[in-house]
Amino acid sequence: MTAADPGLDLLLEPAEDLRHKRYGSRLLSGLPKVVVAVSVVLLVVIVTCAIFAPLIVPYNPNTPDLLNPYTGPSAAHLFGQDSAGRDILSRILYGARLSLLGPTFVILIAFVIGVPLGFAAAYAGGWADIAISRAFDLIFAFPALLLAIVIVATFGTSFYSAVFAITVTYIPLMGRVVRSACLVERQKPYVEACRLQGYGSWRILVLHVAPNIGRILVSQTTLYFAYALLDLAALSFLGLGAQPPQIDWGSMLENANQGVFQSATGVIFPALAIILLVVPLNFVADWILEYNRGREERR
Amino acid sequence: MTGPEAAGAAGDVTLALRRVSTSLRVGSELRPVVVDVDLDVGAGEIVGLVGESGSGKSMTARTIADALPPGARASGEVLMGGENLLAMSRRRRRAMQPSIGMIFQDPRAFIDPLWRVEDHLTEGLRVHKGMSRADARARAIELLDTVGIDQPERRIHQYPGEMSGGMLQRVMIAGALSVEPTVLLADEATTALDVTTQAGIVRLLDRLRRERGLAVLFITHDLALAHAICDRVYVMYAGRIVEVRSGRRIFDDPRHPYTMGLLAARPKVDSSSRRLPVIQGTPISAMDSPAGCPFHPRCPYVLPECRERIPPLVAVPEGAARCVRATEGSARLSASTQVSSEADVALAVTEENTECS
Repeated sequence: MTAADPGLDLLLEPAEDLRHKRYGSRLLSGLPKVVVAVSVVLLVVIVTCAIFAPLIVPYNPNTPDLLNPYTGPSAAHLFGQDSAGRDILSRILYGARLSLLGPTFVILIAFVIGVPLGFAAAYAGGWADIAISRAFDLIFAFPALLLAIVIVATFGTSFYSAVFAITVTYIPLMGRVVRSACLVERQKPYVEACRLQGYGSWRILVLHVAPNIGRILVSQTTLYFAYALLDLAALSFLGLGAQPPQIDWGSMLENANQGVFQSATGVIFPALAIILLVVPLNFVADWILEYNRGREERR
Repeated sequence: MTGPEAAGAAGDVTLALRRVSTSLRVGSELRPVVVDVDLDVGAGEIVGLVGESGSGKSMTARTIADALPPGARASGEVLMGGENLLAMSRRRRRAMQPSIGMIFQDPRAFIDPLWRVEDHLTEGLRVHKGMSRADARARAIELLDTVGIDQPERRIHQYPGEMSGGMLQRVMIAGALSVEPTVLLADEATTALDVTTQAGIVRLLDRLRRERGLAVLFITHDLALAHAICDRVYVMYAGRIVEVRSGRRIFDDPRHPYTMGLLAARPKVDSSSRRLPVIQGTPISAMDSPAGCPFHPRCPYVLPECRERIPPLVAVPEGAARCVRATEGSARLSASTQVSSEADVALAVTEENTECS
C-alpha cells in the first residue's frame, strides 16, 4: 500500500477538499451561513436579556402610568406604553423570562418522560409498543390546544397548569420521534455488528443507538421548543396562561388586543418578539439537521 | 456424506457444519435457503464459499454466527470444539460469540460512525476481556499495526469518516480479531474494494491465518479470487453445496456444470471483442428449486435422470461434485453438448454459443 507515500497524499488532498466543498456548500446552500449566524446571535441576545432583565429594564414593568395609556413610542418609552401606561419595552424584556421558561419546562419534562417511553416502545416491541403507541395516538387524537384548554380548565388557570397542559401534548411528540428514529437506527448494519460481537442490548442502546439518534433528537427538540412557546403564548393570549402580575408575551398580546385601535405598538412588539424567537429557532433546528447530514455524507 | 473430508488436510477442524439446513420465515411459511450443507474449516485454513446472490452462502455464514433474521430456523450441527452451537442454550451461545469473528462487505455501514477507531477496537476488549482502558488502548494500537495500518497512534483518534474504505476494512478486521476468535467469517469482505486494496486485504487474511492459525471462511462470488487464496472451495447453488474442491482443482478441472459456467463467465483479457459468456436462465434459491438436481433447468449436459432426484456428492480428484456426470470432466462434457436436445436452453460455456454480437 502507498498510504505512507507523501507524494500520493499531496495528490489526493485537493480531490478530497473539492469533494467536501461540493457536498458542504450544496447542503448548506438552502440555508446561508449568515442566516444561521444571525439566528444564533438573536437567540443569545434574547436569552441574555431575559436573564438580566431586572438590571436593564428602564422602568418597573408593572408600574402603571394611568395618565398616559396607549402612548406611542417616544424617547422616554421606546416601544410606547400599554393600556395602563406601563412601559412596553420593560414588559417585553421581563416577559422574555416566562416566555422562555415555559417552553423550557415543557421540553424538559416531555423529554424526560417521552424519550424513555419512545425507546421502550421501539425496543420492547409487542404489547408494550402497542400500549405506548396507542396511548400516544389517544393524546394526538385531540387537537393539542383544545386538550390543553380542558386541562387548564380542570386544574385552574395559572402559568404552571398551562405548562403542565402543554407538556401533556408534547410527551407523545417526543416519544414518537424517538420511537421511529430508534426503529430505523436499530436496522442499521453497525447495530447488527455489535450484536454479533456479543454486546448486550442495553449497551448497544445506550452507547450506540442513542448517540446516533441524538442529532435528530436535538434538532426536533429545538423545533418543539419553538412550537411549545407558540402554544403557551396562545394559552396566555386566551387568558389561560400567565396571570398578572406575571408577564409573558402571550398575555401582553391579550392585554393589548382590546386597545389595538388606540395604539398598535402593544400588539406589534410582543408579536415581533415571538417571531424573533421562533423563526431563528426554526433555522437553528434546520441547521442542526443539515449540518449533521453534511457530516454523515463525508463519513 | 464424508466426501470432502479427504481434502481437509490442514490440521484439526476448527469449524464443522453437518447437514445444516436453514429456513427463513416468509409470511406464515418456512422456506429453505440452506439445505444439507456439510463444510469444514481447519485451523490455519482459508476455505472459500462461492455462489451467486441468493445461493445461500451468506445465510450459511449467518447460521454459523447466530445472525439469522427473526423467525428463521436452523437445523443440523455447527460444531466448534466438539460442541454443537445450534443446540446450545442462549446463554452458552452468547458466551461463544467472541470466538467467531465476522467481517462484512461494507465496513462503513458496519462500524458505528460516531465512535472513534479507538473506541471501536477497545469495546470488545473491555466487554469480553475486562481490560482497563489503558491496556485496551495499547492492545488496539498493536492490532492496527497487525492489520497493516501506518501510524496507529494517530489513526486511533480518527473517526470512520476520516478513513478510506480499504483502511476501514482493516479496522473492521482488527475489531474482529481483538477478542481473539478462532474462526473468521469474511462475508464478501473484499467485494466493495478496488483491486489493489482487495489484494492487500487478501494478503492480510492469508498472513493472519498462517500466524494465528485462524480458520477463515471466505465468502465471495469471485471464483478466481477464491481459487487464488483458498485451500478448499465450496461452490453453492440453490442452498446446496454442488462442488468441493481444492483451490487448485476447482479452477483447472471443475466437475460440476455450474462451476464450469461460473469459470466460463469470467471476462478474459485476451478476447476483447466477444460478448461475455453467461449461464442461461436466472439463479434460483433453495426455496424455488425444481425437483431433481436444482441446476438441471440451466444445465447444458442434462440427462433424464437429473430431473428425477438430487444427485449425491460424487468423489472426484481432490474433492467431490454433486453431479451424475462428475467423473466425466469438462472436456468430455462439452464434446457431448451437441448430442443434447436441450441445446437451445443450453449453458453458453463454449465460445461458439456467444457470437451473437
